[in-house]
Amino acid sequence: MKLAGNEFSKRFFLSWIDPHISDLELEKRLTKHLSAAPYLAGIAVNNHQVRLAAKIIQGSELMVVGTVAYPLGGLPIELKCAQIQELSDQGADQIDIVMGIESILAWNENAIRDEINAIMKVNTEARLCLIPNLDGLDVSSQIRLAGLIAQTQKLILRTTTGYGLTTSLETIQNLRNDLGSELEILVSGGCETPVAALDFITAGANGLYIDDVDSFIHLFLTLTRFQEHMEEK
Amino acid sequence: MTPMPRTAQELARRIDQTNLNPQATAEEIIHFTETAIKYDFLTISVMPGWIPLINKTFPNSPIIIDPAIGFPLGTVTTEQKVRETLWVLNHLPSNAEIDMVMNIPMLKSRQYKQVIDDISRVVSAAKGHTVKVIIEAPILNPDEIIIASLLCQKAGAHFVKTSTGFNHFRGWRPSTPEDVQLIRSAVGDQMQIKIAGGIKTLAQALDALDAGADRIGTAFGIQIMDEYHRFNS
Repeated sequence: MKLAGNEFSKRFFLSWIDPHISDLELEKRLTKHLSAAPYLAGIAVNNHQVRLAAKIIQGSELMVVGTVAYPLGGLPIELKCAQIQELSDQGADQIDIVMGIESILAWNENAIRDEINAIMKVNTEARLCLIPNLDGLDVSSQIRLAGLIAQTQKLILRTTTGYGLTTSLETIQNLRNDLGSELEILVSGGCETPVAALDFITAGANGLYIDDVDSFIHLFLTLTRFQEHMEEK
Repeated sequence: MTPMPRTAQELARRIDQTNLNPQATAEEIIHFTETAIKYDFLTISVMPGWIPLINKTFPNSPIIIDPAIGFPLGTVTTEQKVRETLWVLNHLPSNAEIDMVMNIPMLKSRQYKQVIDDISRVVSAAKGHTVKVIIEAPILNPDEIIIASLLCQKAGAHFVKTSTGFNHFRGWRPSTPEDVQLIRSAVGDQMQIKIAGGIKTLAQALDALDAGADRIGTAFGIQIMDEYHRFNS
């Protein structure tokens, strides 16, 4: 598979959900990373900082990402829906929601569908992204669950929260083989190097949560230059 | 400050037995609750999503449930913390305590009025139920621990709680008796202190109580009690 530089644009998400990040620190980081906007799709921030982040990056193409029931998922559905609405009202462009793991582990499909349907009913223009912590599940459950999310033709899949769980390349390959290209898949956990990022993108990931964008950008710029050079030859 | 326990029952009544494992199944939560009742622990600490199951399975249980609010990051909005508190009390009108996480980025931003507001609105929503505020001492410096404790006091909370036990935070370490002593030096005898995060043995529990802790939050309550009985048999 040939990957051109522009194929990396808007692929990367940074997560700054961190109790150490003060408002001042957030402002500094956001201002610095606006220059990486061609490559960055979005930045996840502490929920109480969503409004501030939205204000700072207003006019840029960067998305502000808020999170719901993050990272443990143990909230009742009505509280999750209220939180989605609130974050949307505060300017979140994307909201990542941790699914209730108990119904997934027990494979209670009615409960899973109830959660998905309730989330679909929230009145928001934000992109809604479900986190089922896929890599804690067996392959068959992974595919069934991703299939339910794909059926909505709206919701996005984010593989894990990134806390403790990682995503394997095999998971992405399995999902793409079974579901085709319809479902948007964001990989979180397990993408620690630019080479791993290339592998995930090649396997069919639409986006990746990473820790530091600088080294990734450097690799992709180099790759683009290399490919241009080869084409000229 | 509560005197040192002299009997097994007095020790058990100082323990908040905890299961905040995001991978816990319904069967595990039922077994956990059953055992906690058998051991006569004062409370069980669980995610709010488990409350309907516990209510349904143990309708007449006297055990107090202290769900974790804004857990574990503490960076959800105040509105969300209030919503979670109201939801909990709607489901547990009489036997609830609230463990909420302080907004640490606000503390580190020195937005002290906002920190007080965040806590006091939960205290107000709790309508007299005990509110413990988790200050995440392991990622604070000594000055911040003192300030955080004083802010809890000012906001009308009943307990300062040392930590979530969520060990993914940068710089996290287990709570220590020194944390308890530092908090006690700030709030005097007017508030209670709960130590949590890293208490796994009887010796650690007794050291914490000796340092001035009124309550212990631990997932190892059964091991601690079994150890106590072994030493006293």
